[in-house]
Amino acid sequence: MKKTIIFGILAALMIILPLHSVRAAEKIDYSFENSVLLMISNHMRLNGDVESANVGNGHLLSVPVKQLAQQDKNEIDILIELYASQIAGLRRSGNHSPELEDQLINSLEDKVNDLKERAPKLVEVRRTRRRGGLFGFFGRVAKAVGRGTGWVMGKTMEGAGKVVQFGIEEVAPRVLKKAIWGTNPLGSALYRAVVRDLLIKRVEAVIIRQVEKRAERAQVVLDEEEDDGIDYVASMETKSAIEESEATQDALNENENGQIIVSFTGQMSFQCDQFVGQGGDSQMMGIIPVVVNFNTGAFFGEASYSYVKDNGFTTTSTWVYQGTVSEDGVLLGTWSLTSTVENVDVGVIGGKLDPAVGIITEDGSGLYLYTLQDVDTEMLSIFQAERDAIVSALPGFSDPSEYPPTCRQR
Amino acid sequence: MKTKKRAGYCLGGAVVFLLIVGCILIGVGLLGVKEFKDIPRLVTGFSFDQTAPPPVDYSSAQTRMIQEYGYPEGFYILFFQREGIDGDVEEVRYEEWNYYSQKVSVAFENGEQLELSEIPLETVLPTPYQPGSFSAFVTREQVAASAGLDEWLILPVEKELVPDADLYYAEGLTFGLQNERLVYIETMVGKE
Repeated sequence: MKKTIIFGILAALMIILPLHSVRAAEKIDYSFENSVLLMISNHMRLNGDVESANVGNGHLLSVPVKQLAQQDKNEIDILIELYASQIAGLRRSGNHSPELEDQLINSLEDKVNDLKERAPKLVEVRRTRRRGGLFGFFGRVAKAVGRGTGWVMGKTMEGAGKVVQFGIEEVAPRVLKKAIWGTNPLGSALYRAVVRDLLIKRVEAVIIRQVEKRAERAQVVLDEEEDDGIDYVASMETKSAIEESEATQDALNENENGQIIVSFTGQMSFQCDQFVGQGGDSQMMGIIPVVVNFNTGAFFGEASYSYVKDNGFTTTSTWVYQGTVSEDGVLLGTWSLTSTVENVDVGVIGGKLDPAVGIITEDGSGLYLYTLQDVDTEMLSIFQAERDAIVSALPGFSDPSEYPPTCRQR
Repeated sequence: MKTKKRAGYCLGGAVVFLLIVGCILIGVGLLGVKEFKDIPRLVTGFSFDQTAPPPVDYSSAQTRMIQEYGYPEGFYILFFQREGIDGDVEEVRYEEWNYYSQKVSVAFENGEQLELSEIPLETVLPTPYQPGSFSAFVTREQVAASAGLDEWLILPVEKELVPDADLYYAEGLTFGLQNERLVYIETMVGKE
């Protein structure tokens, strides 16, 4: 009995599990690629690049038709080329963060690989020639019978209407154009019907827009995933989003040239298990506004915080970031940190900003600000340097190594 | 006894014969259906008992374009699905409207304006169709009802290119169906 139950459960799982995996794989029924391929194919057929008499599973009709020359590109080849140029463009541009760029490139490469699998099958089916021998004969007989049946069935299958012409032998551009113009006497010529260059430009534009959209959506996901690191929020904001945000409304200014100065605020937090010789948890929070002037390319950020430790020391620190935004959107500049502990001036420490800390890009619809994406290790080292400086300045705490760097990112 | 046995053989043979004939007829029928679907054909005299789906609401950006330039002189729309932020599948309606006399082309995605670009000046016969008449993933009967079509040429495409897909050519209009659902439509504009 037990065996029967176990067997039953296993059998049920074997039935259910594959179904789930199939469903997951077939989530998208109508892909972007298929819609675009139909558009490309339509125009190529109108242009005579693809003769349509060679249809179906590679079977040939009785009238010989022009075959695609082997070196000609088919619809899939065109799409592969456009995707490949997008991948190359993404690698060159550096418009996105490395993580996002990798994501976009991987996704496009997946599409290219999928299309590359399909392309040879299409070439093969369009190259199929009439098969000779006995098999060919029986095949043709079967098809003839099938077509006859199809013709009879078609009268009812089309249901909706009457098949006035069945088995059109050669669907040349003129046949298609005749169908498009119908009885319209004015329609002597199709506009844009259809130069290949124009079509390719159009499809390329559609692909670029879709890649941009994907980048936007992927960035949102990346931002959400940032939660486990230092809380530095809102790494990407569009101008319109900033305008709608009450919290940053006051920070938006427009200069006399109509350019926008964005005041960007974020929040970071650290947690220290041990700090300046004291045990237990301490926490400090700071807000760093980074002001970027898109007119001059200059940016400036300043953050101050103070807190009281358990031992009674009050620490006040100010971080300052300043520099310029390079043409390719990288922040270059310096940082400095001024600290005092109670009334003791610990001094100023500073250094160069790692060029990788921020990227600012601009596109037609607004200004995108990617700020301090990779700031966690930078901040941690600054924090540790600050701690060392403070420790060195305090009487009785001359050796920073006594206090291991136990601060960790929250 | 012998006669009975012979009669049994005859009956068995007849059943087998009928089964074989039945199988052949079914096979031929199925082949016929397949052949029918694979062959270009011109169809006319529709008698669809189908009402057009309700027109698509224009977005505020699209309404602004219509107010400023009128309905597009030509357009195409792609319908597809993609993975959304939360992993769900989302539907996308990507369309491009062309105003040849104004040298303006504008792209929309789900009604949101993406880009406005300049195109060459042309004198064309504007399409009588409007983009709002066509909804995503409708059937061909609904397309016919929306556009008032009464004839089209059906051109099946190779399954190696797009599985279960056909291209349709009708008056001033071409469109593509996948799994019998509209995934692409484009107006064909003529020069005067």
